[in-house]
Amino acid sequence: MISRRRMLRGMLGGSTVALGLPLFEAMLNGHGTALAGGAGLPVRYGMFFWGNGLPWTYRHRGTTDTISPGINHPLEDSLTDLYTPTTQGKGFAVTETLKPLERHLASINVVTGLEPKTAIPDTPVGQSDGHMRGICVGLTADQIRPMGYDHDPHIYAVSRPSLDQYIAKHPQFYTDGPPQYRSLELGMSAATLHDFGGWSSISHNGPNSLNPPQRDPKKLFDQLFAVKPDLTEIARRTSVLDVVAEDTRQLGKRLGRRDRQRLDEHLSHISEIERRLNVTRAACVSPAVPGGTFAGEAAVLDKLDVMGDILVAALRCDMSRVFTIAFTTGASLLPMNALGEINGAGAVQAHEACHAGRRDIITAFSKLNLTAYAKLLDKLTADKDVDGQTLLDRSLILGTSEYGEGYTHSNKEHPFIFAGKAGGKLDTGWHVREEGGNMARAHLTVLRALGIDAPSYGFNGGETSSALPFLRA
Amino acid sequence: MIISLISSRASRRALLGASLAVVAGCSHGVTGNPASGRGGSSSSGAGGSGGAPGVVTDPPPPPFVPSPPALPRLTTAQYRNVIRDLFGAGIVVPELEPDQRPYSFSIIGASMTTVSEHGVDLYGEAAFGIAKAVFADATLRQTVVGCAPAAPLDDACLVQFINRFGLRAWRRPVTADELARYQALAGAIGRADPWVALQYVTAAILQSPNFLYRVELGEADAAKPGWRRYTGYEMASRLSFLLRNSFPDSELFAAASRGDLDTKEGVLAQATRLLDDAGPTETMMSALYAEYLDLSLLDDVKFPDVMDPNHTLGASMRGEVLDIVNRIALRESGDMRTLFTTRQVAVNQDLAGLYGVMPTASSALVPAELAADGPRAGILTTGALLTLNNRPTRTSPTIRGLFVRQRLLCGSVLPPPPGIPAIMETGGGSSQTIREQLEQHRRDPSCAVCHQAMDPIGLGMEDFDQYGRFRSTYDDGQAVDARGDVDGAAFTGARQLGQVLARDPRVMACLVKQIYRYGSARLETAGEAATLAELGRAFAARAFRLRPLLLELVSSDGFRFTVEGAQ
Repeated sequence: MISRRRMLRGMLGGSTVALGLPLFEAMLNGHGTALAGGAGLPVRYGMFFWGNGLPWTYRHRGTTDTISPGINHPLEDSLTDLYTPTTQGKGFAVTETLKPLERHLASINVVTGLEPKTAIPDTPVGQSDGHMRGICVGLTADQIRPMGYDHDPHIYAVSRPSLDQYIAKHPQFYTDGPPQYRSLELGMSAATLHDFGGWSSISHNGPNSLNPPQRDPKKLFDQLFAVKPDLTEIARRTSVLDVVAEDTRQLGKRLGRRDRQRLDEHLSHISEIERRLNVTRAACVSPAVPGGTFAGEAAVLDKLDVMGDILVAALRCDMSRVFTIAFTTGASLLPMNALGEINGAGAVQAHEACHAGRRDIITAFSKLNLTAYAKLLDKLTADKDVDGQTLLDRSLILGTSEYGEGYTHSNKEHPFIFAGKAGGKLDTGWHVREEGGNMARAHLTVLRALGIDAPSYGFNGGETSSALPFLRA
Repeated sequence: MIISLISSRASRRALLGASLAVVAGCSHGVTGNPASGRGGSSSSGAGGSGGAPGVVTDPPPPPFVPSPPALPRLTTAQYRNVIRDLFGAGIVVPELEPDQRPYSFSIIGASMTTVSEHGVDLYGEAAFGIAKAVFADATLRQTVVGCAPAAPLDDACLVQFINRFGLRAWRRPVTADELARYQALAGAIGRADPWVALQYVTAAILQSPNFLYRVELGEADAAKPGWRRYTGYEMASRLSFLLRNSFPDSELFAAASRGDLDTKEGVLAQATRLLDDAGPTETMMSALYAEYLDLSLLDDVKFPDVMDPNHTLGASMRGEVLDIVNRIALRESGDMRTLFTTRQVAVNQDLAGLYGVMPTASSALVPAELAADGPRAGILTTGALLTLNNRPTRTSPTIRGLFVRQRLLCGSVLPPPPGIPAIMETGGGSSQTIREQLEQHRRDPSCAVCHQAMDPIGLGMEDFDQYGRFRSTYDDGQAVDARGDVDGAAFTGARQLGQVLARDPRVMACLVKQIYRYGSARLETAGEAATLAELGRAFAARAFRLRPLLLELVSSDGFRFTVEGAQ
């Protein structure tokens, strides 16, 4: 038997070895329960993000924020809930909006009723914006950076790393050493409010440090599966990067704290690239080279299909264990009509549909997003490993959106849909409802399921030490 | 009714407006200080009874305190220009991480944000790829290297190359330590093939932070204890990136090495020389205004086919507004306030019909004069600015007003808190005019406090539709009521709005602030208020001509001095 890690690293670029699909038996111990080297089988973490929340209902009535007490909220009792399952615990029935996920009900947990609990400081004013409050707390479990609201900086409002980056850089996650990429950032819909900033990127290393998503299938393919440089080129590039890294260190010494930190991040990126250059790329079963341009919003599902295949191939090859997918973005401008046709007759951009009170369109839009989520889960369950487990069984995907709903920009009822068993750490098939509950419970549950010590998580009023009930002891 | 669609980013501003559709409980209303910089010679256009919400009288600014260095990365445009100027236009620049563009300007994003790992990967791929292309061209590599290397590579040529190429790429002399490091790199690559060694030395120079970042840290100045004066090379770089969007030319480097740029006079002499070169200066001005006015949004606007059979209207509108800016700011060296009142425009076959001037078959812009008694004058009535700030299917007085408030008056407006539904601008089916819908904001005091800053301005532009066409009635036959006001200054129609803004001293103070930010690659700090006020006074004293303002800017203490960054 050979160690998986050794196999992945043993051969330098250019050489190829077939890493079997599914998991290579030779890497497993006799029982197929762990890597031959003794390390546990890898568990992946992914985030699936969509914009514009869910269709609004009577449940979103009333604001939990104190900034505008007494505002008369027009959401009426007749606005029935199209999303929340009617029963809790196991065996719940799908609702209209959840219908696309029906075939995966046994593999997911639907968590409803949660909302951000972080503080909303009075000054500077403007820290209550529903978009950024939902996005920032949903991604980081911390409040919006208190920089006030001026439209432009408002899009750089995260205070700390998003959960994917917290995990990807946590010493208790990649315990057997990081793979080629600590994380991968993917996106599909380009119909974003801005093609920069927090409207466009959902992965953050910290304040003002974004990881923009790759939205081009061919570029994603090339990044992961294109032929690597030969040994001579690798050696030369390594020498170059050594010099560049030394330049970066020398420059950093001359800077103030803020810019030194920017240079330190730059330096660590250089180190990652240099490390990756010298890690053997296992020759995996390569996905098909993506054809077509996938231009325009009508192609978003096709894009997810192709990029999903590339992602799954990369996960199977253990090129990374952390990923984010921004299928649509916050305040999505994807144009859709009430029949769910992208660019169809009478289509309205999704966020405008929120503002115009077009619940029919937002219902269709929510279903599009959850259809995409279901397609991703299809791919993660398509093949079984030698032990009968699927990739999804060994993964934890957190599906979430930017707020509860877009008509009032309410942060109540912020949706979370867990998928996968995280290698057995999560039970699945649950609907858990906690009206007014702290959304950081979702983040805490993720961390503990991934084996990261987390007595509590959440910041500035959002702290919690209580995981969700489907986390196994 | 078929709803016409504007793809992706085209209506991002429209969506912003949507998020501002209803504002409640924002007791501060307009933030920032719309009156800051008041002190121009004109009388205030913000008069009227009671003054503007949030307008306060400035106390005199505190004494000037320099700001810490900005350390911007090269923007993607600067990177491309630099590669072009180092190697010629034949070298293709591969993909780079897209710019971030907070506060309108990519140069601010370049100093505010940190590059991602993928962005550093792209920098590396670009550097290796560019170096490979350069050294694959036997003529070009000889020109770039500048000496004939022996095989194996000799030290004399290697050292000469590192010093000469390093100076241009890093905008300063290479230090002894760095020289040794890059000589060692050549050895590590292998000197047997001199061109290969030089290629990888080049690739390293092009992905060093000394290339990717503008390192402008200053040096101690005995005359200014505690301050740091930007070195001559740093000033050369600051001047060149401001006025050329690229690295310094040989005259600037020579001026830096002579110490000329340590004095205000030396800086002025070089800036004057650069500004005298009309073509590149217009290119700079176009780049500045394209970001300032958010003209990239025009790329994605889908006009009705009847208006835009060739799908070139957006590009024509963009070219036209930049032509007006360049004519007044540079070619005529005119009063920048006349941007808002000029009847001299430039039209081509796409625009003549829109403006109702003599038709032309030209696809290039040709000068034209708008009717003296017509509805248009000034850049606010150009197709570009009338089109940009709307919702996809109709005008949005709120969004148009926001643009004037934020970009032209330098005020800012708060977002609505969550939990507030959109109750206006609901569009389709309503028999109310937009004015009647927006009346809601006046009735509800919690809305009014913020919307008062936007809606009354935008309502006064209702005499033009969302594609910039003049109208006196709406589609349903109701008459257009284009009465508006800016903080008490009443007007009717977009043309008169231009006249109001031309009289409002905040507009020129705001322009000073925007150009200062562009030149500093960051937001102004509190300690720079004195510089901004002084620049505003000088601008007014020179009849609001842009060239004197740029010269005042580059010779100001704020542009010439910095301090050590906080540890």
